[in-house]
Amino acid sequence: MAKVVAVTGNEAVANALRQANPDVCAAYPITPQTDIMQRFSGFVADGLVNTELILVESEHSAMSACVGASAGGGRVITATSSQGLALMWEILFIAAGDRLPIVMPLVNRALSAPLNIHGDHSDGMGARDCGWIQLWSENAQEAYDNTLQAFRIAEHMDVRLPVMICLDGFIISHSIERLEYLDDAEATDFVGKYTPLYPLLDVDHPVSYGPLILPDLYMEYKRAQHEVMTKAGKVVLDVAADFAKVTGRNYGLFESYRLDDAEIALVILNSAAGTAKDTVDEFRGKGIRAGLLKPRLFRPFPYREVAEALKSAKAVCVLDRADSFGGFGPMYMEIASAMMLNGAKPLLINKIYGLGGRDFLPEHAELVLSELAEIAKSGAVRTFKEYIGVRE
Amino acid sequence: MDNLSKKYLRPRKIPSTACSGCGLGMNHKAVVQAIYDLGLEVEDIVWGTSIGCAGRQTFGTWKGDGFAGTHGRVYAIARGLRLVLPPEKKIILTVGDGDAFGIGLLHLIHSARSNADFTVIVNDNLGYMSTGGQYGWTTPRGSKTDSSPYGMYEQNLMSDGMDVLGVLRNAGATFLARHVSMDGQRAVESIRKGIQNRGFSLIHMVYPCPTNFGSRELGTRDTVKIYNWIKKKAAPLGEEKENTLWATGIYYDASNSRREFSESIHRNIEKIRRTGTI
Repeated sequence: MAKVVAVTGNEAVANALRQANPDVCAAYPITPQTDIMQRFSGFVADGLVNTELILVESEHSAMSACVGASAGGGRVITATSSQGLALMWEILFIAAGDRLPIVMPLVNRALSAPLNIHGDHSDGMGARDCGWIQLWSENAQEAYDNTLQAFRIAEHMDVRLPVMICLDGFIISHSIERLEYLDDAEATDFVGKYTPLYPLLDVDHPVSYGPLILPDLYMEYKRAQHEVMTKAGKVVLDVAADFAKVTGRNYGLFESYRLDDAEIALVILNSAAGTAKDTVDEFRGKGIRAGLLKPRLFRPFPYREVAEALKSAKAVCVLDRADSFGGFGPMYMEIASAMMLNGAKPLLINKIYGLGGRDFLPEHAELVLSELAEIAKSGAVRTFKEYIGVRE
Repeated sequence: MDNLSKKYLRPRKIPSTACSGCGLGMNHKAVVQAIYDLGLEVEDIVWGTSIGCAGRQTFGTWKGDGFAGTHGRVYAIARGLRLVLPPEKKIILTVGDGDAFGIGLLHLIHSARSNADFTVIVNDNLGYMSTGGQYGWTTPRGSKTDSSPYGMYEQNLMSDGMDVLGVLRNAGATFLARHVSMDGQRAVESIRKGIQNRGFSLIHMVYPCPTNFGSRELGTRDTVKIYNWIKKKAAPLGEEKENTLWATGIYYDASNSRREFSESIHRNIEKIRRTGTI
């Protein structure tokens, strides 16, 4: 039986990690993630998990320790935010390139400089190309559910890749929400036992991780890495189907909200999607066919499925809580690629919002939807990329 | 706000956002007093800060030039800065124990090795207090913190014959001192000497954190209790008792005995250009 509680996003994620009972956890504090590792270290101290906890001296060391422990054959976790992820960057590629199924919650926070501890998606988007699977979460419940599913996805024999679970710093990590936990036995049963693959400790079958590969083979290795990523989407759906059987909560590659006949649509990630859904409802109430797409699986990106979901839209706005200075926002570039694939060409605009924790309010969604309605009517776009909620 | 603060610090940053009872302000004041005693002006100093309590409370307080480094990198930034600054300009870094002795230790050791001219004030609140109170690399053995509920049992850099100042001395530092924040004028004198050394200087200054350290280790946020706890465990060098954790005073002074990093680079490059040899 599911237990209904009131918890923060961090507490929910920490409990998912506890239920997965990893073999090794490497921890290093960073705001706003600290609370996850803090709670997890409490579980270790209280004997609720059989985890070896290492407190390391930097995030670079945290991810390095994860790589070592995972190659040694353990189920391995850590968690980080912002500068921590940036410092891990070198080792993120090692974890993915070595096909190590490490699971890591990322509590999204802005990047320096200037220093800012509040939520935006610059950290996760900056790690887009590192070969990790990324699941994004609107609220505490999704962060908890995604964390449990992440173990199944990462450790699936068709995948064996690291997975990052993204949730918004402070907005979700530190807010208390209603949440349904799985029973410990149910969760543990769902996650399943960890099966090591080519562990370093199997001395009868010695293996090498990450040695030098020169131009004669490197590209084949990288091509294979893309191949396995293309298979992850199916596994994500299979795991979601199993999860729905246990919980009744359905997950896809993304969430379609009132999109079926939508003429105008928003594409928006994480907590701000929850805010924008209410505004979509208001527009529907006024007889305007508005809809919303909330990506869940960002890497690998489900281009064809997203394009199909947005096919009825005449005008689409992609809202990015991260920027690519001198370019469009990272999510905009994905959606533009997706639309190109199926030949659909809605008028596609980009809004950058909420950097460094700046609030995203219903009136922002309202302004954007009004602009989209105008664009759909007139066919004319004023500005393709714009910042909202900013003093200029 | 006192006259020193008015002269050197930005009024809108004082008082800082530190918790009630935080001892960091005493360290900060000692640094500013040392600067004043040396007759230095705002424009004579570039001030760098790190991450955590020490970074957050001292960042942007200096009226003159300053920079905020990422966690542990401020020493690497300062070495780069040293190469382009005129030698008479001073660099002062106010950092925390996690920054200097954990995530940034490699850079710190190379700054000592190369004898780069800057003065590092390591404000040690005995762990990672701004993230809630996890133990660090100077947390006294046996201390209860959020991440060591049964007492810190890891080898730290401060016990069993190991001393982080010894590590830095062997790495080539030319001025090293240790104080607790209640040392007052003695700490000011050490900082003054550190600034006067044309080379790598580091002053390790333990200060009380009632909020996260005191509350876990002593079971109270009572400021007086943590102040006394630290004072009891500190004694001047040569007067140590059995329970002394921090022997205070000048640990090592080889000021101006070895060529400074930027001077060495500039001289050698100039000579190679001129003569084709070292």
